[in-house]
Amino acid sequence: MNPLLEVRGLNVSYGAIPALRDVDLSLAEGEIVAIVGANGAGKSTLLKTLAGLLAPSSGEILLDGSSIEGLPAYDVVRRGLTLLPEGRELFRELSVLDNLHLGFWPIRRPSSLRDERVERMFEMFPRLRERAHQHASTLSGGEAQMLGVARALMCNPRVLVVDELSLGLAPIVVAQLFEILDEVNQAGTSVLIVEQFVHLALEHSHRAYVLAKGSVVLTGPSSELASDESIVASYLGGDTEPLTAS
Amino acid sequence: MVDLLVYLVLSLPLVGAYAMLAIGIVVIFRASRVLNLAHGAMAMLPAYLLYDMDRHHVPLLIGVPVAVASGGALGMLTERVFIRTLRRQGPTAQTVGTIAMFGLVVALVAQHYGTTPLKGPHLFPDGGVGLKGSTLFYGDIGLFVTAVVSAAALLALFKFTDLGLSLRGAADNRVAASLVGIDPDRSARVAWLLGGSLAGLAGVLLGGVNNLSPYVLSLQMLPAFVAALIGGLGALGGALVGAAVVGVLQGLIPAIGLIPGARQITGQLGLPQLALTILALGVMYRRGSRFSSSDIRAEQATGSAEITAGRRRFQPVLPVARQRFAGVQIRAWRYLLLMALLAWPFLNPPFSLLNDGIKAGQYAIAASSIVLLTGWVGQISLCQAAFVGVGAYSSALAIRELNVPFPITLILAAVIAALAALILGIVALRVRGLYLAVATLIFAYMADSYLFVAGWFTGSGGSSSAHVNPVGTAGTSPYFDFSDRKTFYFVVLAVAGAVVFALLNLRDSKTGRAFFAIRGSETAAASLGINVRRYKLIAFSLSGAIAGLAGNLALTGSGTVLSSSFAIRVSLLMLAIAVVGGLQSLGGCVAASIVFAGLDELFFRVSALTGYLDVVSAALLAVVLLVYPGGLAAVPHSLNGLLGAHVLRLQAVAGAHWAEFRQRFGHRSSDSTNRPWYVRLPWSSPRDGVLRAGLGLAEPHAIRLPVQTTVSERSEVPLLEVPPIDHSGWNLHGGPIVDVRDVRVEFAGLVAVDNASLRIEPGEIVGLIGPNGAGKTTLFNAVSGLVVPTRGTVSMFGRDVTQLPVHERARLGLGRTFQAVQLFPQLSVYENLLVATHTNNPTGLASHTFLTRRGIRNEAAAEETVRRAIRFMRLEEVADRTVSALPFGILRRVEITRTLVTGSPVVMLDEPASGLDNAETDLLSGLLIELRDTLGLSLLLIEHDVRMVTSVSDRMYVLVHGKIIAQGTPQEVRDDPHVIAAYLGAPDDEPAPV
Repeated sequence: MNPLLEVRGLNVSYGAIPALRDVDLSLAEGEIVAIVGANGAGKSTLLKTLAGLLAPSSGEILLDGSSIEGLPAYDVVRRGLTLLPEGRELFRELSVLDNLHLGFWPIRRPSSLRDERVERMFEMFPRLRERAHQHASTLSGGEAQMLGVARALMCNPRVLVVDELSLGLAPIVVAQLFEILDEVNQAGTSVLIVEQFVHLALEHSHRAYVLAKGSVVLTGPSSELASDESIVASYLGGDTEPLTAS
Repeated sequence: MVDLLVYLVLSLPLVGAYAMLAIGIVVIFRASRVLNLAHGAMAMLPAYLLYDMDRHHVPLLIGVPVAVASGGALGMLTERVFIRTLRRQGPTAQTVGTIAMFGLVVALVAQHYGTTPLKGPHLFPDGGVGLKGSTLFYGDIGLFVTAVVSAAALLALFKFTDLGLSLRGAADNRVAASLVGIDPDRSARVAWLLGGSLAGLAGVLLGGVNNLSPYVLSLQMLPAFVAALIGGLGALGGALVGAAVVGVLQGLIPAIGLIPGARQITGQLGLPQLALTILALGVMYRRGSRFSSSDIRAEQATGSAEITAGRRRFQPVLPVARQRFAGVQIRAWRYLLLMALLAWPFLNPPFSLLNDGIKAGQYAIAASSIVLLTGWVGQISLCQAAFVGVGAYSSALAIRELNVPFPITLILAAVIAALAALILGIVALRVRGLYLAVATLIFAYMADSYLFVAGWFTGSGGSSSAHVNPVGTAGTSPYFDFSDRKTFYFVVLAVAGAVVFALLNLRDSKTGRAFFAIRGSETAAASLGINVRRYKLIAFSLSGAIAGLAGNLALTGSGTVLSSSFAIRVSLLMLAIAVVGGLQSLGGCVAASIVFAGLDELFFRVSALTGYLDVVSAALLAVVLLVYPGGLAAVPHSLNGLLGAHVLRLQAVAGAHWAEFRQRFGHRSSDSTNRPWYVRLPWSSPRDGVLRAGLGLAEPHAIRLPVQTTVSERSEVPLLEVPPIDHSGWNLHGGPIVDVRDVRVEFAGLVAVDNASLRIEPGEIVGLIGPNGAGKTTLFNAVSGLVVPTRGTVSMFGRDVTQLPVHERARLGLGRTFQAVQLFPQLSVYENLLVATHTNNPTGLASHTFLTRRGIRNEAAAEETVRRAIRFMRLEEVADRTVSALPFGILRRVEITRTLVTGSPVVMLDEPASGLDNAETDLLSGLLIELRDTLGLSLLLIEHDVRMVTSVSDRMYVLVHGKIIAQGTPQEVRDDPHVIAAYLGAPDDEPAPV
């Protein structure tokens, strides 16, 4: 079976600075795949390129067999790939409800379905129901991330791409959000996550890729990678020696 | 009391009109983050179209919708042609684009319909309601009601419809909008359509109430801008409140007459404009920081757009205007040109041609003030003609009242115009970019309608001209006789020459570099010890002074001036001259002045073209902005490229043959094989050659990047001799050189840094690490002064510096680099480094302007420091290259070199290894250690690359969630279980199994 999302030989650069070199990656239907790596390894660049916020200089991105590289972001999301970006990118001056309604934009109609989805999100995140009419900018960090997840789920994407879900959040909130990702995945959405907390990422994924200096250096089932010392080392400094060798 | 109410009611139509315009301005601003200076044109054009259709008996029922739609169409056209095309150049260029559109449309309408007021068709019945002797016409009532209805309709559209929701979303966050499937460009188009249509509606209604006049009607946008600014530009409701404030304020001006004894004041023309200007400048000054923060957000928005635009990279075509020390090496052709300019009046040219020469000189003086202010310092001014006018009228005042003779009036005009410009300079300290453009436009509007008709200033009792007896005739001091145009031509030439000479000196001095640095990045400029406020004020006063000179010459030349010579359209003409000349180039400015003086003459001579100057100048402004941003100054460069490509190809072919020939006959040369063929065309800049000679490089090389040396290789190079570290002001007593105690930083209730303490000992490398979002950069900014902590103290060199601004801390000896490299993109590496000599150069403005011996000596010393730094850091190969064209690794190196040039004993590096590959990172580590060991520098380092930090640091701190959770030697920190947990997110809060 063909993977739902497939990346072949992807190269991205910011001006003269290469950010990704020849990245290959795949995501099968129903899978959760994690991407880990040190800061500056190019994880966010990869996700932005998948979502259409950046154009690759070369390479292919196939979503369900048809190529989406170079398409503008608003087109990519209509094809079923939704990015929850780092820093969430909420509509800060709009109400929580408006944010959710905008999340439904790729589908747009009918509004009965929209209200049904909003209701489901409120069930998933009761805190959002309490704050439905507040500006998104008044939410706490955890609530804002909940809204980010809820907005991304409003259009029921086939592929959900999540960048640094845990950024700046308390551990208990992070755990809760990861449980929701698992639920969403069981409901049929394939998930691609970038996460700075390696153990968390490996615990909640089927497979993982390790990115270093813009290239994939390691890939395999998450359970195997979790017991691999070199992945920890690469995360802390791109070195292959164990960290605490004294 | 009742009278006051009547005035209030009478001001309602103004409130309505301003509300419609202000709402449109806000809708457009939110969608594109641009203040649409073409907004007035979108109101004025529909009014004239309706006038025309009405004359041709098109029924109003058809005419009004068509006219309103034309406003929307003009909005969409502006968005397409200027906003989208110029997005990469940022909001400032876009704003200039909208002003070009404004100038073009208004000039075309003025050309086609004339400037005499016309009567537009009335949309409402004639007659009205009597109110205590005044009449509230049905047209006025209709205007107000329409405004209320349309504002309500628009609010409803935004609040209750899907389209409105998507527009609000796209305005709130472009990236988020595209991530949920909204095309933000399409939303922007819709916003411009709505804003333009609403402006069109306002224009059509205003045309029915007042008379039609292109400038008067289109400048109704200025009160609307003030209304939008009062409302904070964010929400439509705010704009409505602002419109009420501005409308009522304007409407109540005649009510001053109700105060006993103040009746004659109301006879004064232009009081509403004066009140509006004071209100506008006050609002901007008081709430400036708020606008600027949204400005910065706009910049960030364009920044992210820039990244998105990887598909089509913008190549700045603006030439590098800076050249080496020009005072010493004026090239021969400049002398030739000067001689030609001096000689040609003796060929007895026709009178008109001589006058054109005078005009070109006056244009050149006035436009060079824009080159200084806008081209070099990056501050848009749309009121230079007003400063010229201030110079002219104040000279007239001095001559008439005090009988002051000519050369003294020249100085007086410069001083008074400089003071006027200083007012705007003070506003410019608080607002930037588009807001400043609006402030200057409002100032020009006020000067136009109040200052230049005010009796106390013009002495002409409300007429539009100022007249003085020509100097030299009876009744005035007979000092000079300029009735001979030849004499006056030389006077203008001398003043223009002096201005150009002084500006050239200034440009190539410490002051000029400070200007360019502010234009490039105010943050980086301050971090190099440049007092941004001071230099902005200097730039404004100098610019005003130069414009004042032009004003004095205009008066002295003819003995009489008309206020229309200083109107807004003239300011736009001057901007056009500067932009067509290349905006940064004085040579281009002079060339453009000659071209425009020629056009002036042509349009005067050819009757079919009469009056088209404004149209042509606005069109030229638009074309140069969109198509050829380098302007006339870039023409030699383009020619060079054009011809150079041919010559290069020929030489390459010849070179290949020659190499083959030599190889065949057994010659093997060691150096010529890899030396590329290089052409120098006669007009290419001598700069690189001179620079290379200074650096001891014989021949220009091809691009050979990146430069890499190891530490051992560098040992043979003479060491950098930075100015000796001055310990005299220090008061360390064996304590740390930097001491941060219990610093807490909050942003809007969010704690970014929480009671963090850290210290740096002399000659130590300190590493600061932590996961993303831990607050490292915030702590860093608190040390350098970009952020003021809510609690805690920062001391350095034994002094408490918690309250000192960035540039003062830099002066004390704190250097820094930035996470996103903050070099000045349009300057070469060499020039970037020269900027850093700022604090070590004791000479001042006067010395730079007049090119004193001391100034030259200090300049030479600065250049020598830079040369040494370049050699030390092995940057010779890239020294003369523009920074924007260099690879990232080199830029990092240049930025570090820049902190060395300042001679700062403490240097803070924000993620110096990010974006570098492994080999480059290793080189960097070696370099940092070397800097510590050989120069005795103390370094503070933020870095993600833990391996790199641990390899170079003497001590480390770990910051998590704003708190320092660990400190000690690299080994101690690496073994700390908290650190490992913080980095890996250990499951169940246990230390990670490592």
